[in-house]
Amino acid sequence: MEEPNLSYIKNIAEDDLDFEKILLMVLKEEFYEEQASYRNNFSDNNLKETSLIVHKLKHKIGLLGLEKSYELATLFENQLKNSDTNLHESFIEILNKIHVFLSKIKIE
Amino acid sequence: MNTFSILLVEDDSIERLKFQKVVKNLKGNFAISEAVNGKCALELLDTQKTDYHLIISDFNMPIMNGFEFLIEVKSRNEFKNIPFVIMSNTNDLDELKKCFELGISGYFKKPYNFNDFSKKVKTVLEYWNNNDIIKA
Repeated sequence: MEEPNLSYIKNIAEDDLDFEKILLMVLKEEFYEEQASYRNNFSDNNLKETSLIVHKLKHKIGLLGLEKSYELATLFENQLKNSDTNLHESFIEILNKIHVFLSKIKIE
Repeated sequence: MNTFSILLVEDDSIERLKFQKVVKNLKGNFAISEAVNGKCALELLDTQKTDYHLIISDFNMPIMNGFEFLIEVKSRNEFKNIPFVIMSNTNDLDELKKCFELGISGYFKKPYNFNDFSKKVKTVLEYWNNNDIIKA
């Protein structure tokens, strides 16, 4: 099973450590906000808004090198537009995995 | 060297950072103004004195999306001739068709891979930066 990693971020940053730091800061900050927003909107059955949040989260999923998870998020985003929530549990697993990964990253 | 002014309309901050990174590596003098949705972009157009050479806009955004923003831009005499390029992963072909009917200058998908994204953005910016008509 694929694991989050920083390869893609390092590829974008091209040894620009300041840029890498900014990217990680934004990623961490927004991920936690969007993760919470996802849970709240899903609980409230606000699936249109949930789909928009999945759209935002999928870019972060891709940024962490999770290609298969990115594909799942894309599929889930579209399914939510049709009120199909079957992929919710799989999506939560992805979010939890990223949450743990990001919590271990210290930005100095 | 003249500055080529770009108005980037994109709600995702990571995507904006990626765009900035690509532009930083380009030859030429580029200035980017950023807006997080169409409404903010309109406010920038109205309040800033910048003559933008190019608008690059995402499609799916909260408050005012790319399509609504495009309608506003094309309805205003002072802005309607600024080249407008859509950068998005939308699958809504009907909406895209309407965008072309309204007069967008181009559309490209945001590739997942950064190197591919970088190539696409470079191609678009270099094309318009070398277009003397819009800088006249």
